[in-house]
Amino acid sequence: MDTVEKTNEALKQLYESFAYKQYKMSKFEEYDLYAGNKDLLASEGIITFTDTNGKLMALKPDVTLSIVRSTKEQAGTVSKVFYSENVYRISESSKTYKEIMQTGLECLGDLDDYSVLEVVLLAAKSLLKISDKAILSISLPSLISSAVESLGLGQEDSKKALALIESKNIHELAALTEGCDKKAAADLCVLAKLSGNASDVLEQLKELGIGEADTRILSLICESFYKTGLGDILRFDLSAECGTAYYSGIVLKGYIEGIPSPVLSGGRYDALARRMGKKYGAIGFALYMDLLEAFSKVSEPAAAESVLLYTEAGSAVDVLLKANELSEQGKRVRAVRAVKGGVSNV
Amino acid sequence: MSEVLKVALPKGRLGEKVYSMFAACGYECPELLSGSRKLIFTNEEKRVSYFWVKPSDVSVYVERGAADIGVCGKDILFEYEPDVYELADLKTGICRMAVAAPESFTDDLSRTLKVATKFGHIASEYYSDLGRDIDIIHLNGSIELAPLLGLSDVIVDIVETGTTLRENGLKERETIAPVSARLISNKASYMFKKDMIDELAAKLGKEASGR
Repeated sequence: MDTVEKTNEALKQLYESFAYKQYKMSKFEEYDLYAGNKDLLASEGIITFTDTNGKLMALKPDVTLSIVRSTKEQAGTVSKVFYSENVYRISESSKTYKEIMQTGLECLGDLDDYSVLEVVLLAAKSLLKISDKAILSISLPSLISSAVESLGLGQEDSKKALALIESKNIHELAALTEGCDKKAAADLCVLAKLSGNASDVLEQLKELGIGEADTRILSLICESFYKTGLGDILRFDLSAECGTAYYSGIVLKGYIEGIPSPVLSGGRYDALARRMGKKYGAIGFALYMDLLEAFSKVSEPAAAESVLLYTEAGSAVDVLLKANELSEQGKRVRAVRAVKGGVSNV
Repeated sequence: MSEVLKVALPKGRLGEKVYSMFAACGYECPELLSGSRKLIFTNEEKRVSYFWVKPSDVSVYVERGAADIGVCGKDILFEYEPDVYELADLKTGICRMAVAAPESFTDDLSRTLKVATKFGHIASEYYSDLGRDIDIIHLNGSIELAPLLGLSDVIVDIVETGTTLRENGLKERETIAPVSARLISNKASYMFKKDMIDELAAKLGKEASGR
């Protein structure tokens, strides 16, 4: 079993231990599902084809939309599912379509604080199944977006401000907000820079005069992480994903040392569910298993191999018997034919 | 060895200028300027490791995590939009992205504008905001030659003093955006080496403002 498979198995056990049920889905979905929600997809471009009945179908670029569509509203209940599926997206780097394996979970329904804390805890534990050098970074975009709104910038400039904040470009943000109320602009710059240890960030938010009601969920997450002994991997980073259309509450990003981009991405997306006609709360996350593949190649040395050298003069059946014997002893065997001046089959 | 910050610097005059700023902030690595044929220069005591790369490749090294941080021109960030943090304006390498055309040029709005440039993305974004239909001609150098030979109507390029434009009978028509060297960071590296990166960015920012 390779590292990705092992991790997947460990994740499956983790999610099942919290009573999440595996969700299996078809590779294809009707194109209409995505066409109406293009702004919510991680990448542009959907692979489509016409089915035998004339319907326009798509290879799914996203799992969450399918799960939301098939999860019914039922007062007082919470539906908890996990999945391990391939999605088809345009790769940011190569600009070509890629098959990307995603494992993740979704929690939909009548959500309370416990449901949110459970999902966040599972996100942290998922990262720790990959490596102990992990960081779970949480942001609350509403804090930034309401601070930007209060500046009274036009729509275009507000959009620019959010993009600058996402890239931690405080020097240009300061220039953009120069004509605004001085204190509000200065506070926004401080807020946009806030990131680091969770309890320190909470303390700084208090100093900025941000009410406890606005940061309540962050305080609960902080408390639950310290009490479960996971405080070290938790960070609050308020600038992350503040311009997103997808999330409407907390946003999660998971990092593993040695992997250059986030391996875990998720958050609360009630607004997306509402857009699809569902009035329930929704939270979830996904792990990009393709990133893990590259990571495992670096961190794991190649398994040792037995080389079985044979010549043309020998019997092919004898070589096969020997190779079979070695394989049954649990060895990795590579049969290589010796030729003049070297070997073939390598 | 304790944790080291990997820094990608742009080869050339800008890189040397920027390195002198790093050195002035206490991140020196004298071997870097020794003319050695080595590719990576590390000062373990200062916990910093430098390497020179082609200026347009700095953002690639940083985005893909081969370097934790790097310095590149804002023009590269506009053009390639790498998924990185932009932590400081180093206020050096100052120039601007501009539209230039021959003195005699008058824009004929009834036909497609031919634009020669190295910066296809910047040019198409700029003209799409203006609602102008353009034909981009991608060139890799001597952009100023294109309108002189009738290959294009205008050019979109970096302008520092404007001397090259003037010498070739070209005139700067519009400034698209100011450009200078920026300190950028890989997003994951920032998570794991935040304190080191924040300290360095603050020192460099101060150094840049004092110059």
